[in-house]
Amino acid sequence: MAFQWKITIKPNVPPSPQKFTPNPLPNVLVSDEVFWSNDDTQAHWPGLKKDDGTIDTKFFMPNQIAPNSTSNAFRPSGPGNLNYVCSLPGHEKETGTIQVGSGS
Amino acid sequence: MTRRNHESNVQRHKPNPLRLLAATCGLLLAMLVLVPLSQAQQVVPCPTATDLLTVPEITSGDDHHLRGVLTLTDGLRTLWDTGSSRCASQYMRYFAGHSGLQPGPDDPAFAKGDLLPGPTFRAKVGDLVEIAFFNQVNTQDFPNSLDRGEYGTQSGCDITNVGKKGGPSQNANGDSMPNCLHGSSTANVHFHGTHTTPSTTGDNVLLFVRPVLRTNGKLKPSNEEVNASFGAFFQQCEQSGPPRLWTDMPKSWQTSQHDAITWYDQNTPYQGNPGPLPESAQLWPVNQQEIDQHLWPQYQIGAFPYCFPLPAWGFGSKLKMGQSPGTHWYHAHKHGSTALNVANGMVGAFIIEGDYDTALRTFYKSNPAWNTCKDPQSNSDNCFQEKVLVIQQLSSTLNLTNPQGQGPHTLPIPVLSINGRRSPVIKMRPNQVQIWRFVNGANRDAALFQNFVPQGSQTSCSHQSAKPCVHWNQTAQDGVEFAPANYDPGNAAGTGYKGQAQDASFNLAPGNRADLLVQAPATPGKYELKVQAGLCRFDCNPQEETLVTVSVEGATISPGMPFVPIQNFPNMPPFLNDISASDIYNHRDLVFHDNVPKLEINGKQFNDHVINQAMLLNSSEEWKISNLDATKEHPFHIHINPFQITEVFQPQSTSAKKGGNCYADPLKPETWKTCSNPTQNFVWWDTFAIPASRQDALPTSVCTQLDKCPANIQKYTACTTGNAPTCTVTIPGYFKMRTRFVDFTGQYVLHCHILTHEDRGMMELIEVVPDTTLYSHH
Repeated sequence: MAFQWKITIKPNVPPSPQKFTPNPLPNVLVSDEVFWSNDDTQAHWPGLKKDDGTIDTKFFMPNQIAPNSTSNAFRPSGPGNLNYVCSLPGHEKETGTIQVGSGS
Repeated sequence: MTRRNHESNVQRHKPNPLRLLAATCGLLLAMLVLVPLSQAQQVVPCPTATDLLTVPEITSGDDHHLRGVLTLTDGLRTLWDTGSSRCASQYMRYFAGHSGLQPGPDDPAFAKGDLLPGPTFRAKVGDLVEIAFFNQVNTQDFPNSLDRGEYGTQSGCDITNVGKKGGPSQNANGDSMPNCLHGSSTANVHFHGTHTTPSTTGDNVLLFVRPVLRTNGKLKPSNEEVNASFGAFFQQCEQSGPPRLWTDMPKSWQTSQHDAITWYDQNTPYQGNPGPLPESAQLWPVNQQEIDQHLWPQYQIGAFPYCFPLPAWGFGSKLKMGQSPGTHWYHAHKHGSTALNVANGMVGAFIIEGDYDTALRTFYKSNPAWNTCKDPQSNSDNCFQEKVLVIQQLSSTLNLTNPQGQGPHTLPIPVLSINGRRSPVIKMRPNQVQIWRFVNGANRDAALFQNFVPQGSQTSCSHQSAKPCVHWNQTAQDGVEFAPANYDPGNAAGTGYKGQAQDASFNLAPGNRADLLVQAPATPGKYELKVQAGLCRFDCNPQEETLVTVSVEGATISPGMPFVPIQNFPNMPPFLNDISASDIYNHRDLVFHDNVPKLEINGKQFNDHVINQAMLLNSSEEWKISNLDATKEHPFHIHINPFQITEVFQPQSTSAKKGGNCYADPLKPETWKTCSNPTQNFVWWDTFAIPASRQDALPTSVCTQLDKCPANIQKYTACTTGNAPTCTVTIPGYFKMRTRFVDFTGQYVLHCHILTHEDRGMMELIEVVPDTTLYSHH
């Protein structure tokens, strides 16, 4: 069995680190699932922030998250920190981290 | 679960509409319940308390009406992880509720940290069931739990992106609509085991009740709309029974649903953008089309009023069958989310009482020594106490990305729990007999009941008269009492599927129920009930678990309570007499097969616009139901009417594998059958695990190519190619059943009760059609 963890995208807060709650997201194991719940009044699209600085937009989800809706689930397949950033224009300061431990 | 955990896990308690009304009236208690407590998900200490929890009940009154509010809500609850020994607070969707149709808070037991099953319904044969169902799930707590693009260009199926740092994203699930996991915050209620109408406000699983809309902090439909309309509806149903047409519903409810669904169509986000939904994904046009054709509109939002009779068979009744008294249950049954909904906790017991219960209670009241067990919960002295035990397999997620259990993460399977706790303790006095009503509400695993083992011992004490032990004797299956001959407590040898004698091992597949008389020994001590949990018996590597622990303690009951003697065991009502071979009007064959990656019945997945089987009202039929899979015993379930099993063939059984009269020879299909069948007193079931197939590799001397194999086995044979080709014969397992399609016409379903199989296509739509017409020819 695996667990499922929710990251809330909060309205009316500065871009980082409070925009995503909790941030960082701890205690995730490789078998778990993570999703984003957008409580904001505008769309967001968390994408993977790669080591070379580029963004893999569709790493977590195939499309942006509309206001008052949620993303699909994401299941990490290896341990380590997954750094993400909102990939929509003007949202570059909205960043977060998922801490993935080993185990299943 | 400890008191500390109880308190720390009261995370939030969302109001239902009726509760909100109470709050507006200034009721302080209700206001306290309404206050949402915010607390983030976190890893928490695992629960340690093990006392069996009693689930709150909603009971019918002397006026023969079962009136209750059933709320589907969500909140953080503590779950245990079988793979990592972690426990964590998880968002779960579950049932709560309270008695009556009046405004008021749900029973506070549902707001504690334990994830209880929904309230136990307790009614009597002949009652009218009136359940105000509210879907109050907050969809912001779950990933994409509204259907996405159900009729649109995208699949609409749930997806889970899988990836690692620097690696590609992927979607490992190849299912397609409608046979995929989807729309998990939409629900309905299946009243499993009821013999009633499958249409309109009855046991109608074709309904999709979407969660209440939340717009600017307000609910749509509003509480006032629901309460006013439901009040008028239930009054109408009490007078004239369930409605026939949508236009029979109160006008206010018709208008309220039209407004809510139209709002949903215009405002629901679609593929990351705000509404409206594309026309192909809108719901109201579908409803309107159904209404125009005098069908019941399947899409509802926020709430639905269930109202249907539990018909009593008897003198003056026109019924061919009646509702059988016994242990039944209810659970969410929306195609595409039954597995996740049931794994979340959307299940509850439904006890329907009748002469069966009266007869057992009468016997155990007959001796004053058996009336010395003070029970503050029931305010009764009678020692013949009842335990309602709902088995669950709780989980916040399903293994969507690896539907075949393969790939980089083959996840551990969730363990079984009872009434929200793992291996709970049931207290019994020495020499006491209790009745245990088991419901297997797990979404996946069967529980093969093995034996009792004294705590700390490795050796079973069952079947050993010289050792103190807890013993059981089964009295009913799937809510239908045994014929006395099948119960017979003097038959220590057991009678297999025909009936269960003392301590006989039996299989409780998902969906099955079993009533057991359980007898404590005279010697105090602790005894663990061992079961094997898994998808099938024999070679399927099931997990052994302690389902419950019995603590025998306190004053000895003397004289001891015996199993009820056969002469005091209730006789079956006549409508449960055997269906004879001469009554059979038609025969059918159904074949279940996990044809990877498609789960099929007769070579097809469920198609939501096709009726697969049509039967005449008032006809009896005999069906042979086969299984081509060697590692899964698909539990066959059909709604509305129970069935009698007349024959079971288990090709993996010892007798079928070894030589002798019962040997199933892979080269002789004529031997692929059981060699001993009951001839009378067939047991009634509504769910039965189809025996797994056996796959025998043929000697290369017989054949290595399909066209060289004997002609009579070719259609059961598959051959490999390559350097060392081999051919394998599949000997299907099967059972035969007889059933009566009586009393109710309408559309409903049959399916596999491994619920991911149902969601992924192992289901058929069936219809019982009238056998008479108004047309005349003169």
